[in-house]
Amino acid sequence: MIAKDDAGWPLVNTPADALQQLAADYEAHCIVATLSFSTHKKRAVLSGHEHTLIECTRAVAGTRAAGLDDLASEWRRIEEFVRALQGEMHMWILVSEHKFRAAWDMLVTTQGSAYWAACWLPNFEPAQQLEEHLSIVERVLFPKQRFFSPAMIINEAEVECSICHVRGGECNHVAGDIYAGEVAHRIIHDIEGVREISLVENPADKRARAMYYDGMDLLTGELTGDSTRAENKSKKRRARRIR
Amino acid sequence: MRSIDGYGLSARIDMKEHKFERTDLDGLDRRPAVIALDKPIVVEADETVAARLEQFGINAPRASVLPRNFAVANSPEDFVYEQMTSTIRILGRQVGLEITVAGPSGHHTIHERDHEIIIPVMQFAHAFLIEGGATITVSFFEHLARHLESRCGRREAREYEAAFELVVTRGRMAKRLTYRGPVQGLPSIVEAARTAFGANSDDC
Repeated sequence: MIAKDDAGWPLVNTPADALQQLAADYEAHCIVATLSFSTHKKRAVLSGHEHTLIECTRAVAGTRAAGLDDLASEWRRIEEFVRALQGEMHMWILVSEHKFRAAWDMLVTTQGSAYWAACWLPNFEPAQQLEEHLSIVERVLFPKQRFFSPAMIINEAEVECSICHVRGGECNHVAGDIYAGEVAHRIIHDIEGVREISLVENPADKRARAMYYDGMDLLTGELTGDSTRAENKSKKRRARRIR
Repeated sequence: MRSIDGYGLSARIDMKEHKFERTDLDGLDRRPAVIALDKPIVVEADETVAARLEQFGINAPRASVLPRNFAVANSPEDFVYEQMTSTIRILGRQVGLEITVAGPSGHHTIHERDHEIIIPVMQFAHAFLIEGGATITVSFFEHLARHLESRCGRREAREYEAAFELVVTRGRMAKRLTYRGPVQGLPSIVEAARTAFGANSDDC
């Protein structure tokens, strides 16, 4: 039994508590997300995720301030999983509002969070399931997309570490690892040029997608304004021929 | 916009000439994939690497990452490295192995899909491996394997097998070792590299 605060939100004191709570919430999350529950219900679940996310962010900041680096990293891992849950529920709400492009972008962001959550929480079953779950959601909800992937030439000497701000890859921080609750990134300051742009099936960023082809939105199948006019003209011509 | 040939990818756009053309694949998909081979490590003679090192006037380092366009670059200034090269160097430093980048200009990196798990081709000097460097090299590959596992995403993906190429150089000779198998088995390539020039290679 998990204690709750005055507003009815669960009180979470340790990362283990949080994981226990999230494991319990995950199944309910999947049911509400994927079945035809009302948007109102989905918003209620989203609100719960947002509350948990705020708690996790506070926990990361608090433990960092207290110098508890390992604990801060544990909270940061959990935060990424909650971010993925929040993103998925947000995506479903966007779908129910017929905002498909925004829903696609949200799905891609969520898949990124789910990927890192799966990397960082290898023994937490819901994190392992969520990444696969989202790839199924992508296949079921959206048509197969065509993606572009730019390959750029980067001046390595000007790449900065987000943790220690040393440039040129001279520090020991590995991008994607968590240090005292903070994820290491490589901050690119100098792109020397774009080498090539490829049409790929598995790009680093699925937001770089072909959007229209021959006047048709490749995500929704809708015809664009110009295409509708052309289609109407063609229909009229066909009708005249038949007469 | 600069245009450089020979990266071995599927296509490139020459921004200066305004043309789009296909280039050949380099023949090795380094992304993890479920594959099964009888021999996890294949050893072949490699005439290119030693010759190119000599042509560029580079002394084969103890351990280095080879640029992606090593076979076709006109000079070391043109070298372009995989995105993961800097991570490889950091992982090496963490176990005490200094990994260099060939040529005076090792500061270019390619940014592309699967950059987290595309392992660049590495070069090791045979003399370094047989003169006490093998232990630290095994530690490095164990460390690399753990890193790759941690970047595979969900647990099932960690079962995938990886492809990795290593070139071991001895004077003007070089052997190319291709490993295909579980990520955890990556350190086994060190023993294969030690004996790549024959059973009595320790005596050389």
